[in-house]
Amino acid sequence: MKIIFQDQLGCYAALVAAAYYTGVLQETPSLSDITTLPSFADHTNLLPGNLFYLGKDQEDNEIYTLGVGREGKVIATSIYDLFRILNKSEIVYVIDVSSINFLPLRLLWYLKMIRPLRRSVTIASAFLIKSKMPQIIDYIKNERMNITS
Amino acid sequence: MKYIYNCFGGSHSSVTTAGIHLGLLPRERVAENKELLALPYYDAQVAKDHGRLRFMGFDELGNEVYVTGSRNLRTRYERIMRSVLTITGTKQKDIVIINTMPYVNLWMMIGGYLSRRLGFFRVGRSIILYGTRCSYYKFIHLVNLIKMQ
Repeated sequence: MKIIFQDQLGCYAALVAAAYYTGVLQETPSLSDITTLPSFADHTNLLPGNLFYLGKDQEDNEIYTLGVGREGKVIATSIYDLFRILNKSEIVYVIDVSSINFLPLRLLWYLKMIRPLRRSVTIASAFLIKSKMPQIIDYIKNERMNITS
Repeated sequence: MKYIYNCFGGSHSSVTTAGIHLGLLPRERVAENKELLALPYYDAQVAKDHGRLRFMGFDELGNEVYVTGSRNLRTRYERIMRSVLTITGTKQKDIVIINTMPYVNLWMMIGGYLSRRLGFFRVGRSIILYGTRCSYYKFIHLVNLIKMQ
């Protein structure tokens, strides 16, 4: 199965949730654990709409992250419908974590455009996303139960 | 083969183009208002339907034709769907995704907003019908291009 974690840009909550899901991140990661994730907060170089392969989980499922702008629900619905009409509905599972990217974090995305601030904004983003780890952990636990069932 | 026509709401330009593709609308003249209104899903989809693939029918070669609303994703919609098809090993040539938004005019946008978003059906629908008829030959041209490929 292919599991796709999606959020607005694919490199914030989606990446952290995917990293936690695969076991790369623990329940209480340090800031450097988050900032050293591949492509974390790298939305100035990444294009929304491109899938990024992160790795495999314990059940050998392939994990991807995807940035979809504000249309996470539309894409999830379309992907499920597409594979339903192709009679392959069990091979893709989409987890939309857009809601975890809360307003202060989203405001930092604009500051990230200012080149001299990039490093400090990345650390601030990691700090904010770290504060949302309990929510991410709950989310992943629920989704893991859905996937296994 | 499966053809998926998409526009912002999956209610007007995609449905009209799919109707022309399927032969539900004439290809040698501009369709009448009652012909447009008789199309399934024409000016009927609401926000919660966005992303859902709606089956419109089979064309003369037995291909399946669908419509969907991709909201603001535009060309990103196809890129995302193609990426997901690639990672699942699905044949790309079996799916044709067509964005009809480049052929949408201002009247259709205004009418669509009034009818679908604000609920002013009577006013919005008459503006949409006018706009659809203005761009009708462009939709025919698009279908001709698709069928030539």
